Amino acid sequence: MIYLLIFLCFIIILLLHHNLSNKKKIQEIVKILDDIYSGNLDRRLVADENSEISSLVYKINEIVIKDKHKLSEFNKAEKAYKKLVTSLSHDIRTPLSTLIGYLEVLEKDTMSYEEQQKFIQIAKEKALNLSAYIQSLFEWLKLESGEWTYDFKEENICELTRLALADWIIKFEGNNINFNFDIPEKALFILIDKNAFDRIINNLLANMIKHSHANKLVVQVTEEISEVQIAISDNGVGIDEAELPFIFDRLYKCDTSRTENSNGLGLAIAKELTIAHNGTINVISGYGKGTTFKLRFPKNMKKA
Amino acid sequence: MENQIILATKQLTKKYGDVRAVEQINLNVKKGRIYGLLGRNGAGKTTIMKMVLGLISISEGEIEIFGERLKGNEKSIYTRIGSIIETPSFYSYLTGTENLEIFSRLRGTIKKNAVKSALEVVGLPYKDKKPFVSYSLGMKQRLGIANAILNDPEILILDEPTNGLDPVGIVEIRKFLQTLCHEQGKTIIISSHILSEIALLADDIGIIHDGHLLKEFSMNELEEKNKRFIEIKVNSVTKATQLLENMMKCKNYTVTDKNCIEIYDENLNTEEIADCLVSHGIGLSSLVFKHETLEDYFTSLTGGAKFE
Repeated sequence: MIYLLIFLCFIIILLLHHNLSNKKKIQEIVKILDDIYSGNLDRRLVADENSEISSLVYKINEIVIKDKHKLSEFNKAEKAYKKLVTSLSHDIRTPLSTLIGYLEVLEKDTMSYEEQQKFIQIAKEKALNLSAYIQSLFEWLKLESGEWTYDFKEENICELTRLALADWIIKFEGNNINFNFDIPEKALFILIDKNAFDRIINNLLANMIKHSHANKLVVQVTEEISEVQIAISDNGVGIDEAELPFIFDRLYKCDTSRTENSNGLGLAIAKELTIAHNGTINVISGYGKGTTFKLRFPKNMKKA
Repeated sequence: MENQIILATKQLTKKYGDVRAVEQINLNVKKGRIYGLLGRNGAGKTTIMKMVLGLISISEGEIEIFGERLKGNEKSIYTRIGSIIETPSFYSYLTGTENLEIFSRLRGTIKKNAVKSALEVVGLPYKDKKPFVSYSLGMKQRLGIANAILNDPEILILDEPTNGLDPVGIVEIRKFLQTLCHEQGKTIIISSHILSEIALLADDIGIIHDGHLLKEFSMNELEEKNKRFIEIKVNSVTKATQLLENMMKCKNYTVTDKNCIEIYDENLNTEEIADCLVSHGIGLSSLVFKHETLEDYFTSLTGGAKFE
């Protein structure tokens, strides 16, 4: 009988001890949580893997780590935004000051009629470039802030491609570019926003004309099982392999020595618009090896 | 954004009998930065670290970590610190995984599969059969690092972590530590005698010599303050110095070699110097802007002996 009593007392003492030690553990945890609350997201809770509170503790740690990650992403984004604003203001100020420079020269100096005309041409070109840049800029900002409204309709992508290319034929001929279009007669209907698609093709072609110094261009539309592929290839100077991962970043300019105001937004916009169609855009290139841009549009784009 | 002091030692001293191994050290380590403890072998770096980690007793002085006195709060404070002191020692006949699991059971963990994650980070296999005794030196260091980061500590104290690593390993560790500090915001205290590595890695430096903390400074301060000079190599030092003094009114220079002069007068225009020398028929083979490196500064502070 007495042994039973002793045994029971023993159990009770064990339970009380357990209870007290849990209370103590919880107090410690609360103290650490206070530190985390006050901003120290580097603090971690430690627990014995086999204890009852281990999963609770691990979960809290996970939450804190996630929070910390979010905070550092936010800080990074803020930094990137500031950098963007600085480089944008530079990208606008520079051509503007050049433009003003030319106009001042025209105002002051005495020069022949031909020279005057030449300068006026240059000034006009700079102004138009600047205007196009600001246009792209606003497009891109609209895209980024999600304000670009798409109008997806079933369109024949082959016909759209032909139409987009038609506008460029004069420019190709003017730049001595031999072109070859391989577009199937068959109608391939996909959900496309006509304006966006136009933009994509235009941006890619403009990029090609400006940078590749090519004299041969091939545009190929092919039908695959679940998608339509559009490949735009040129035989120009190509893009260095090391730079390929970055060319779709806004503001990235490969040829840093150029004085022209070429903006890196064209490719970035093309990429955004392609993604909006649930499509993909890739580039295959190498220094001196020409460039191929490949667009893939899924046949069955699920309407958002 | 000023970084607060996360670890400070106040008048930290270690005596072995009459020998004062480490004397009146006042370290100030800032949060989220890499602090390099520089000094020759035997200067006292490891002794300081051991005192901070409670591995040897403190003779005099105090240590404050996370804004609290270390004494009396060891348990809660040491959970937040990871370390490697000298060569990592583990149980020889257990595998790396088994070793870490023992330590994780002793200390507690911060997440499920903490051992697996830690091994992954340092590039060691999980649950393999190789006993610690068969590990290469590089693997031993890595296991030590895995052990140190096991609980995602806020401070890492690393004693010569690149010891015995090959050049590739050293670069890996350097990148790893930079990621830990700059991306994850950990504070790292690292001691080394490889100046070039510390120069690449550390944000702040403490120079220990003969048990004393000679100086504490940030790498930024060092770069700004560093004596900038123009180094010219000429075919006739005597003629060149004459020209410098008479034509360019420059007295602040040293002849460092039979053909080499260091000019400290920053206001001098390099074009003028070159022009002056060449127009007077002196052969100028090189003209370079230079500044003192960490090594130069260290040597000048510790008294000139060649560093290993």
